[in-house]
Amino acid sequence: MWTVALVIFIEGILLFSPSLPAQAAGEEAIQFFEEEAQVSITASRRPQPVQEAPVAIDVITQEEIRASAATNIWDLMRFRVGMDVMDGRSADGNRGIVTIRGFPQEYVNNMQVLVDGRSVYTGYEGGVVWPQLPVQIQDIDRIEIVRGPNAALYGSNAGLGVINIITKKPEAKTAVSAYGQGGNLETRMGGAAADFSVGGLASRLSYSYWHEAGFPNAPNPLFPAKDDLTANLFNYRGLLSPSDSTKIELLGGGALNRQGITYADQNGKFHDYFGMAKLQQTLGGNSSIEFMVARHNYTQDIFPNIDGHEKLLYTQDDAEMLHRISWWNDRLKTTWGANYRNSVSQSEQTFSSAPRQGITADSTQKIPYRRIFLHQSIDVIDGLTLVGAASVEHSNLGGTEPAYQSAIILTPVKNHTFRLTYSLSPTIPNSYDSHANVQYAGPPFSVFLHGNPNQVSQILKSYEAGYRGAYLDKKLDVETNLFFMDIKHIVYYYGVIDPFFTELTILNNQDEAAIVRGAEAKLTYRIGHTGSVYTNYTFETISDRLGDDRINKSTPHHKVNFGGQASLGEGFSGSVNVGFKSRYAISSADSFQTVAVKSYWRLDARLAYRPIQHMEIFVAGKNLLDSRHIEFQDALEVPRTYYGGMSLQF
Amino acid sequence: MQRHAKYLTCILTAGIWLTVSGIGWAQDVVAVSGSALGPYREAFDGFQEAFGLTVPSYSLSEDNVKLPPETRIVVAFGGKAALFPYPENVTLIYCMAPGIKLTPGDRHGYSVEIEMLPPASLILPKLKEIQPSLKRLAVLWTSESMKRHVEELRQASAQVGIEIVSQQLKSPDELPERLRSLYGKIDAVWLMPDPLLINSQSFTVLKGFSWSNRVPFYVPTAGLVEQGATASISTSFREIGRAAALAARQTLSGKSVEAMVYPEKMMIVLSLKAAGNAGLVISPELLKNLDRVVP
Repeated sequence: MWTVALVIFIEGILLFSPSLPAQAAGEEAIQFFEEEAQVSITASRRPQPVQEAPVAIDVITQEEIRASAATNIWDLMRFRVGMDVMDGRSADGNRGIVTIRGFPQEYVNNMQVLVDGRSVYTGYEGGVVWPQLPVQIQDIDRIEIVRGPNAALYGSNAGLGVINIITKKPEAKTAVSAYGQGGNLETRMGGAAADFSVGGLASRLSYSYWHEAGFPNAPNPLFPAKDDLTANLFNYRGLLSPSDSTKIELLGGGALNRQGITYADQNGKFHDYFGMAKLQQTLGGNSSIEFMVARHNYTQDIFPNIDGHEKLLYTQDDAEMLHRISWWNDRLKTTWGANYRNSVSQSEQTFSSAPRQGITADSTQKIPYRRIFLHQSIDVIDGLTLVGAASVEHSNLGGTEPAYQSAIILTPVKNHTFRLTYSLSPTIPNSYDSHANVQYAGPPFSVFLHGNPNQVSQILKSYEAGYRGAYLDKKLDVETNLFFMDIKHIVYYYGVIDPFFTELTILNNQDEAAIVRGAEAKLTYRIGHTGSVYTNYTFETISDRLGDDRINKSTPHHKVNFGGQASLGEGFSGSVNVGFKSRYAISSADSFQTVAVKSYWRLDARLAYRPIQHMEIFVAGKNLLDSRHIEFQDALEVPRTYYGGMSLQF
Repeated sequence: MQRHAKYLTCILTAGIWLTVSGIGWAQDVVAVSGSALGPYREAFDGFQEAFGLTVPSYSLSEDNVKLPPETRIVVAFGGKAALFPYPENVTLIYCMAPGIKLTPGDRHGYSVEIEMLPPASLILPKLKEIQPSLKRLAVLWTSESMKRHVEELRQASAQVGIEIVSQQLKSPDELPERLRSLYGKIDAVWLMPDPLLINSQSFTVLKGFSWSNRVPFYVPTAGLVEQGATASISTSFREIGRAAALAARQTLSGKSVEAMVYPEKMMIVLSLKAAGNAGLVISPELLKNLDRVVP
């Protein structure tokens, strides 16, 4: 009988209790408008929400950047789905290994990186030298990571994906911010930024100083390495709006770095400068045009190198026109444009054989690129969008290469989107792989490295299926992707030793090919406005034609990340990120050294306290679970680091 | 236990039936809501309270909507529900759909819109009461459906000595730049209930602008005040539901109902912290007149 009584009691509560929500919660007020916006977008055929993009996109938001324990740009991407991020050093000043969907190596030649739309991929060795980017964390507004090929829109060398770093526009007021922090490994960082407006030109000026002693040597290194870094970074961003329909942006900056070189007890000077101007003009309600010109100048000065002083000068000039237009009540959207790039690499050590005579025509390699592209999407019916894109790029390396992308985006139910994508993306050879002519003369042993001037573009075909959905009143985001990539003409280095064992000649061909299969899953649950918890898992497996460990074992098969950030009340906030990578074997760029890396966990965390609105005090740590471990084949170990500091904002 | 199971089954069935259907049942009025989100639920509760009889209700996110043949009135909560293709002979009363303005061209049957905002002639004096020094008010909006509200504000502004600085944005992305151009030229910001403009990011930008520059910003729902807006002058979601119920009753009784109906009551909610950050000094008299104060 007691059961019956209990049921009657519960039924009574159900029947006679007042209606539940007395006042919609504050957070639901914004959710309400966002839900209504979805309806309004459909009704007015506005552009599609980000979750209905034809590619897998992950956005690192301003809140996540602020809450993270990152001290550099690659740390910000470390725990994201589909990413391979390692602390690793190259001989040419790189300190971060960042790839999308596998193939971590010193130079990731098939991943494009943009800063405010400007490519920072260098055509010299093919890749991005991360610490050299003249970008400060305090200036980053957000980072968009596009996984999968998108060459039709972004150009060649975007086969694995595109990382787009977007910096903050000048504030609408006079504002000043500053920060300072210090920790173990002699870490000292500080910086300041100011926003102001003069005569309609809104400006943001910023500066950062970064010093660290670097990582310790691994036990019994072949060569003792130096890893100290002292960097000075400065940036300017100006915004002028002569009319409501015209916007002019001016950007400039530089990174002046002095750092130790791994594999050798040496130092190098690395200077990077850029300038960019953008004009955006609205031509009508549904049409806008954008022009961009930019110059990027990079110098690398290593002294003394194995064979004397080495100096590299790299200059890249860009010009781009982009037109966006939509028809048929925004159901048909077109983006088309053209761009021209001229990259010039000058290095007497890389391109001219001994005896060296300084920078001459022999030691200069020019690669002009020309490209036109068209990207078209059409909402066939409500819930079904077709996307097609094509581009043609011509350069004196790789010849004329087409790129394609097509996608079917199906949204049968609101907040649930399915996507099928096919892409073909070329990776144009770089100057080093094509034209290097390096000689390290003995005795007792001489090394020659010859590029392959007959290189063709690497071709990457990708097939992908994805789902993205929102649950629990859009608090829970779910994303899954399955992908298959077929890559041909991968550059493969090999050595030939003469019969007398006095000369080693290093050559390259493109006999290597690889098949990549992978799956990604990501869950993110939002708590309030700025809090969230997440977990993601990435599986990747690579089989290659030559059975070379450099390819098939370089990528960890399993990657798991989880963590979150939240306000803890009383002015406290915190973030925790935990990541796991299964074991892998990583090789040097010339393939001659491979290091087996055991599986490892990594924990980064940050705790902050805000006693007043304008001030934050924080402590943070990276790699907190482990005193030190190896992540890359660079003769260094990644140690536990911890630091603390303060930031002010007025 | 078997015997108890029979009792349980009977009582549960009866209870659920009574809960879902209610003792009274208005077959000719049906409620349809876009989803189970709190604001829609709150408006629906207000509707039920005022209407008295329980009506069949559907949620588009969960149910397959099949209107009973005798349906004369549909009360729609949210834009998605408002845009659902109802038969022409059904009178549609729609509310909680700030981005939707149905015209005779959009649907052939008669439609009644329940406004989210109080009339402009009531909003502006209240703003002046909160901020006596208010002279130039920036009004931010994106959707074309807001145009009429902006015009109403402009017409009502002369009587209270407020200049309306209307700012239509093409997208929320323009917000930082537009606020920069407005800095120093306005005394406060009024955010229209515009779904194409209000989202987490734009709200954060506005809050930052307000708190950093000591420029109050006023919003069209009380919930946003809890998130950091200075104050809201609005109609509660429950009151919007009540207005829909009143319109439904009038329609059922054969009386004509205007195509646009304003809810009767409005409420003012103020955040003391946000007001302080925006540089407002709140008098004790004003505090007494507020409907709710957020610490």
